[in-house]
Amino acid sequence: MIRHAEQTQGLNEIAQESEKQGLLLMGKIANQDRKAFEDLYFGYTPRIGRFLMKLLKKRELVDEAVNDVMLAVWQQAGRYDPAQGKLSTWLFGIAHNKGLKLLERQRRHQCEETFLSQSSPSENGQEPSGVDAEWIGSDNPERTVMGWEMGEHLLWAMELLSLEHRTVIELAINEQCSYQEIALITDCPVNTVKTRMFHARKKLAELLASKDYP
Amino acid sequence: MNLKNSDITIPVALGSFFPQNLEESALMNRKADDGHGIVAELLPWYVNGTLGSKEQEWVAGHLADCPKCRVELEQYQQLSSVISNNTETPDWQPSPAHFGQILSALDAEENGVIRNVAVVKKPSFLGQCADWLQAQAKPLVWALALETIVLAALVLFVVLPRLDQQTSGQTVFQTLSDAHAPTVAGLPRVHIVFADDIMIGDLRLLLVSVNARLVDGPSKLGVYTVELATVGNPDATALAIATLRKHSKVKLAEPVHP
Repeated sequence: MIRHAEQTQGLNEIAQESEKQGLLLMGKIANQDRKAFEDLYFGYTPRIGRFLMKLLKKRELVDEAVNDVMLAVWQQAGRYDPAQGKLSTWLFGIAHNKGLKLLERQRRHQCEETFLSQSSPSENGQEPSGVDAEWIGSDNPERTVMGWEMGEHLLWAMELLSLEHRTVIELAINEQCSYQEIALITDCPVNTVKTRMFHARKKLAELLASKDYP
Repeated sequence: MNLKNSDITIPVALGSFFPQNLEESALMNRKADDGHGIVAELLPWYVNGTLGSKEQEWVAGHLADCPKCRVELEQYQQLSSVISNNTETPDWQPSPAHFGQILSALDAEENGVIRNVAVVKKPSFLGQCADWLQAQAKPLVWALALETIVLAALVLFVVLPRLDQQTSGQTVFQTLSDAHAPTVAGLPRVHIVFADDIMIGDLRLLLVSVNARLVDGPSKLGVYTVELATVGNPDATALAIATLRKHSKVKLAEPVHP
């Protein structure tokens, strides 16, 4: 328990320092400083890109979404208010919004293509569409945390979660966001965030049980 | 050992990344479960260390006395470990080339804005006249004279050309199916309707990406005409049109048939 508290404190100190640096950059960006803009890009987009990659699955879409996020940062840097939340939360909020718009555009495009080609749906009806081939099908030797099949099944199950459920899990686990921050990023009440997390876990349980995992 | 739920069986080895007993957990029986439900709700954020100090203490206190919630904590930590160590997702990393693209889009946008600002700030001829008149004596007389000039200009520039068009048989509007849409040197043309909020940077990037250029528009219906450099290559033309249609800021893209 003590070790957990020490780790948390250490991470908090790093996060506070990073936040301070981010605020300095934002002040400069508001004054059209391109060097600060570049520093912010290389400092923050690895996390933003990783989050968007989980959401969008395709590099070209993530490129476009990060592009949109950075343009929004350049145009709205002066409007960022630290009192409303951390810089990373603000950035993730923009990224989430841009990501959803791209997904919606892709969905519309796929609908049009399906309509035009009159193609039949996939045979099993369960594979998520628009996923890089390397995403699920690759043989990755590092896929060993809790066993090969565990990773395989978990990835499969995660892909079948709704976007809302997946987003909450990604933000809580991979991005270490608090439930208040997730509420800001996804623009919904904190109780909704907790409820989504609960149902995401429940859905994962059901999906893995349906796979009859040994 | 398996954990039983009403209609599913969850192996413990999988860690049930889920409340140990779903039907008794947080959202189902918040009041009657002695705090287990609330702890179950907060566990994901206890694990990632983002709870407030009071919540953190409260959950830690509950865990110290509750073996059931400790099992659930362990299971959630397993889930967290699997997901955070997942290397299956293709990686995305920033790059100087990508940043260069962002700067190009920024430049294109800012140049557009500066041009617009310049147009707005430059005083028009009539504006200059009005300023000059205001500095003169008897402004009312001069204002009336100006009004007369404006009316005369309207007649010359607006009404007369319409009459001329009507007499020559030309139509004022150009429709999407207009058979008279001109094609120069056989280059294929496309009618496009952009979204109202398209930015000039996006427009430039889009046109460059399909090797097209704006040749006409907007019409009174807001239709632009672009020319594609894909002469003699129907596949390339079809691909360019598909790319245009795919763009989120393009409401409509229809080939112009000669």
